Amino acid sequence: MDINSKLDLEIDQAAILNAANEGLATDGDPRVDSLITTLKQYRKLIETMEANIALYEKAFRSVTPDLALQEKTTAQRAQAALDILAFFPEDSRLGKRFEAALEESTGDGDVEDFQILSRLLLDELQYIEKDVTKLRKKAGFYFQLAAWMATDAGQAPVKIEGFDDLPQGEFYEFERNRLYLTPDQLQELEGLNNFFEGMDKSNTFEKLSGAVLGILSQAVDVEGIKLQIQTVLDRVKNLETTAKAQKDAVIARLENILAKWKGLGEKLEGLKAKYTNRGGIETATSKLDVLYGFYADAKGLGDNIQEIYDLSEQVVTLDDFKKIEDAGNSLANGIGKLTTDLKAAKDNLLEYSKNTYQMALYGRQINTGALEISKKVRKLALDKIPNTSTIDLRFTGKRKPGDVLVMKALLFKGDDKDPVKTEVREFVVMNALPHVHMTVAYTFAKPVQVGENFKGGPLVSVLYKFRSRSLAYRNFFDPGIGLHAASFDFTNDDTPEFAAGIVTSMFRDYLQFGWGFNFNANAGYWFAGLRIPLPNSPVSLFGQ
Amino acid sequence: MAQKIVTLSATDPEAAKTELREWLGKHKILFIVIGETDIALETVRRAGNRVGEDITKPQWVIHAPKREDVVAILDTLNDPNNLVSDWEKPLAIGVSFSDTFRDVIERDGTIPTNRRIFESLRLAEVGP
Repeated sequence: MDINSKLDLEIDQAAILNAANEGLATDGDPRVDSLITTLKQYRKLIETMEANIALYEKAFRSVTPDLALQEKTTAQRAQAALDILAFFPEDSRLGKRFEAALEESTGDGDVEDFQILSRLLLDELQYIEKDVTKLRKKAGFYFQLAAWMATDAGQAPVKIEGFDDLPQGEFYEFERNRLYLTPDQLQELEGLNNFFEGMDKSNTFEKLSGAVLGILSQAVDVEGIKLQIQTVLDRVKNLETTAKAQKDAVIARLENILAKWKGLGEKLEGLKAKYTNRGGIETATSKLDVLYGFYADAKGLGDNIQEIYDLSEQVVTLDDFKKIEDAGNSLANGIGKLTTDLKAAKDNLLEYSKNTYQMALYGRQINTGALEISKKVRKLALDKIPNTSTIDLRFTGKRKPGDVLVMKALLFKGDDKDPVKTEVREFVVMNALPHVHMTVAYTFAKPVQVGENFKGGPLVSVLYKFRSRSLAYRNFFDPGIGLHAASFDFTNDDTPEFAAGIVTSMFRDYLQFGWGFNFNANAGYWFAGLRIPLPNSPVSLFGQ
Repeated sequence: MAQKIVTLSATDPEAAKTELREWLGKHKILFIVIGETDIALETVRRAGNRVGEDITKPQWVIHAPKREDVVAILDTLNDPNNLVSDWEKPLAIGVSFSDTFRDVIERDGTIPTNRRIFESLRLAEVGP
């Protein structure tokens, strides 16, 4: 749903009552079971007859009569009526009322007779429902409806008019159209400029792969884990115990792990240097060679971490623990945490990209089972539930695209702690309406004069984005069209020149194409603009 | 508008037979009332209210005042459930689209209830 919209709620009272009846039916009381069963049967009979009446009428109104269809619908309608009459003998309440109504009828034939039968069966249904309503009241059913907005700051309750006594939330209107560059974008532009400036085409790939490796290294906290290993090692050394042999064995293993971890950190730094410095991969004979080497290096990193993790699981064996015993508790805790963090580091390499893509496609992942209902959410008796309500997202506080509005409807019976039925709905908020925003990139422009090389320069665009309610579209494709301004040096005299023109963008503005005119150099150009995720860039891959 | 009640001739047996054959050849649901007693006439009236006046619908009432004029023809119709074995007994018969006996209301000295007639028509509609 759009990030600034209102959500109109309609409560399906019939569904709530059905769920309450199901809750009653599981009571074990045969009288209650009988009533609920009868209620279901009557509803089914009414539905079947009304459906068959409609089919019958349609078959006989058709301008091209189909005799076979007429026969079939006549039979089905008749059977529905006979099924109802089978429930009600002549001396039953419906039986007597049916006879009296037929006798008083105006003689309109079967249409009127079927209407009479339907009406009388509905009356019977209402008599049963009255009895069931009394039972529901006695059982103490109540209904609750609650909502939360899940953002970076956590999950906060949201007011639903008529369903709770929560205060109105903070007003925040998401800035849909943005015709300025944020401080983060200005920083990104500077970063892009610094990254590409002075770079010629031959080392583009090396610089790009170095940037990617930089991001990966953020997923593994090398220094943090090194500190932990050192802490555990110190603790073991200070351990007072008579089991000296076992203590020495643990120390040796930990020192081995520390050495390997330090080696891993050095390897990571080495790889970054290799892929960012021109001479780093000069032994490669082709770009393909570089790719293969990059893959082998990245895989090797994962294998190294796996090896260290396996070692950490064997740091303290069961025998060691038995001997070290009393002094072993804090050691066990320290090693347990270390093992957990090493495992987390190994998993993080994968989770980092998986979660990023999941967030982009499906929005924030929420553990809805853990959401707690505020005490200010009302416990409503079944006859006091409002039919409609509204949630205005502008009163749910600060939010951004990808945040999630979660709603939970619960039906409780009496003092039971667990609800009879729960329904959860999640709505991912996004900038769904058409809008305009500014973005930055680094552009490679080709002046239209023949023989001119590509010229680089920073670029700022104002882009119109189309309407979409698809998160995948918005976070992956998100095409735009608009105008751009850029700065080049076509004349190679170190004097910046101003240029402007039209632009189209794809893949969330990470790729931009267009045409422009360099006013100072008096030359037209075509261009391709690029944003790349720099390791220290404040603007994340799927951020604004 | 007249209700969908067809009264066969009580004075011309051949005409009665011809008209009955004609109606049996149509694709209709027929509620055939036999006799001209007060009970039979009241049964015809009640049945008339059940079938109404809409001639686009297939339900019709046939009143045969003279049993002897129609028995021979009715005896040729399908009776898979052997509903009629003695032609003295039936007051009314429900006949399906395919001219098959699907229900019989026997004479018992009482007027069939409206519900009974309604059911008889439905039984005639259900069967082929």
